[in-house]
Amino acid sequence: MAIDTTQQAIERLLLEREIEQFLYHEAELLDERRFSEWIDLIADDVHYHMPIRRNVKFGEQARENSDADSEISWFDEGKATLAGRVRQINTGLHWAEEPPSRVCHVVSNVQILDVHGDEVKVKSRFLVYRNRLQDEVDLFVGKREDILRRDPITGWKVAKRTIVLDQNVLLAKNITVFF
Amino acid sequence: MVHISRSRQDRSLRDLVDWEQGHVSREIYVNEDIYQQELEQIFGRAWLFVGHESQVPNPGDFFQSRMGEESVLLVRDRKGELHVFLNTCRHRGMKVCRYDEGNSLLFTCPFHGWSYDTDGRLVGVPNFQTAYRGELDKSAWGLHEVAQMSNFYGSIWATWDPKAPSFEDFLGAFVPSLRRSFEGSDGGDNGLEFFSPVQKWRLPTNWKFPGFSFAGDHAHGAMTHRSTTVAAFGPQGELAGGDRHGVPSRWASTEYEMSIPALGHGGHGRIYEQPGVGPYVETWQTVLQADDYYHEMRDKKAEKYAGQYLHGVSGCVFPNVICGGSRILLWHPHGVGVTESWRFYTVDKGAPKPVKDAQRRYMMRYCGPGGMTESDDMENWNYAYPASLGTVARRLDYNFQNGVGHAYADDRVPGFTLNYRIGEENQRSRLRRWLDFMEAGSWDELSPAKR
Amino acid sequence: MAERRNPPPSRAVDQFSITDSMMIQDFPEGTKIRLRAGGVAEVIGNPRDGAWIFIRYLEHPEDPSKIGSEDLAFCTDVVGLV
Repeated sequence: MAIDTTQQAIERLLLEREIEQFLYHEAELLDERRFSEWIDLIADDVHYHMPIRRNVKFGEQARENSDADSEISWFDEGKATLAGRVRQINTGLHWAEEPPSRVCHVVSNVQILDVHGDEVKVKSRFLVYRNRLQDEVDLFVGKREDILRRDPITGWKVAKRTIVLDQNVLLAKNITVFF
Repeated sequence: MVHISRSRQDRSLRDLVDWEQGHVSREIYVNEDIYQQELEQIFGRAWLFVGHESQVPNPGDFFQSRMGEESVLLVRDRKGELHVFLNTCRHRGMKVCRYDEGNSLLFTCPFHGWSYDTDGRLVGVPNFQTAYRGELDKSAWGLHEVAQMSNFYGSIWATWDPKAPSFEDFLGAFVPSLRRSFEGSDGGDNGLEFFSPVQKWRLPTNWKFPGFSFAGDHAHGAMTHRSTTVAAFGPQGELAGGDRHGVPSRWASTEYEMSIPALGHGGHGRIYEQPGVGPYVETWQTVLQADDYYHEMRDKKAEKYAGQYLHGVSGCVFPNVICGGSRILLWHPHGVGVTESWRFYTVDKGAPKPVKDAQRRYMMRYCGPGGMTESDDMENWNYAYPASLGTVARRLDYNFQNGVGHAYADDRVPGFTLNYRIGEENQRSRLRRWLDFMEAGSWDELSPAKR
Repeated sequence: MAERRNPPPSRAVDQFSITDSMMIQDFPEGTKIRLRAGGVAEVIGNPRDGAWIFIRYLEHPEDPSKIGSEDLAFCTDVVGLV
């Protein structure tokens, strides 16, 4: 995006700051296990997708990430399923998260790729550390590409989230954290 | 010869596994020497699941699979024939293929460049005329192929042992059950296709926890999966109490543990009290096309099976695979305390796209490491392992006594042993076959099944 | 079997000759190539592994009976384009 006036540069900076703060707020809610508040930041029509990464030949990168339209992914769902996951954790009987894991979301490299009306396309990196029980550690690292939508009344919502985990064989026994 | 820890030196394998009484030493789940012997005696000899023909539909297509700890390639050669090769160059052992799946004219080793045709023949050796003087016998150094391969209604199975019986004899009375695991929902043979890619993940536990428990341990559901009903992620949404499974048939039936103890196969089963196929039950409340489609398929299946008594049993095939319920669950040994889980998802090959999408998304939210059901299984299988490792803990036996002495035969399901639906008959069957494999010097002692 | 001498790589075969080891993985079918041993061949298949290409001989100075026959050529045996 070309910056040709100081005013545009300032607006851009403010938007970047606002987006970053939203992503940090989300991470905060997740790490504090305030899942019921987090799910309110998710748009009703969200598509939440974590593809599986294939080992492919040079030149076949288009097939590297599994396709949400026809293939198998780690996650490929909408808000109803995400909300079901929140209800499941909130039972206190979801053994994979009981006793609760200690989870730390580090979000960085936030880049605004596009602004289109009320929607902003944002790319970022994540490093999610999960530590549970005595000494169990999992590290999930990768890239996210979000479409965030500004709702004039309720603020920013996640309208689309693609989570590109940098693993082929998942090196964790399960994925019970949100990204 | 198994060298077991000092405290166990006085016990033979048979003493460790008393499946008749349901006493099984933890040692067989945690002992490194026993694990190494399993790789040799079980994974080196049994028929193992490799993949499905729909994963390699065209000449040159390949899928990198696994048998035991080792990488294998399922390949359709340029003439259309299927092969299973060990994925290792005959020169210095490097993997000749490091892609998960694809299409190739050759498999070329990235180390020195030895290259193999899709039928396994060694066809390219750099400097063959100069450095090798044309003297290397290429015909003797092709890719190492399995001793036997079987295409069982589209599913591909293989064994390294030339003395193993045919795959059908390995299955015995389980043939009709497993055949139906690969039917389409209209009852047609070889009616499935596999989605891509495979979900693969590492689970820190011995392979027998998932391999012997899954679909052989009905007792865990009410406890392990207590939290899933509130999530209501079954195809029917919040109907049927939000159960994670679809809505069951309204026909009267009884659930059992159904196993073939001498062969180690079996799983949860259901026997209907009348012949034929029960009326369709609306299940896919959230995807209307799916109900239309499955209703039509049910009617076709009902025509095929009119007048026949049907039973359904989850397709657990010894040693490490469960086939059925729109998925294949494969538990690869990856060291004594690590399992590499592979999950394939299946769907009717002729299903319209909305149905395939519905099926696929249901499976993803139910199953695998991100699935709301199985994430909890992983936790239990994980921590049962280290809690069994201690010096004192491993002196103890696991208790497999649930239902001991109450199994019986039933004319409706020849070859099977039945027991109450919540029990450990299936697990005892697998342990019995495990012991047979571990003690047998060769297939001569395993086939026909001992005792 | 008598040992054959490995002839020195032919350089400056034509202006497209980059090196005596060419990046062959992108050669389309029909590409005409010059081989280290002196022959000329046509690419009839490319596994795109960067190591091997399927060829048909168009010229073979040592053994004219091989003209028209098919073979595999290794990357270091390809010295230039024709």
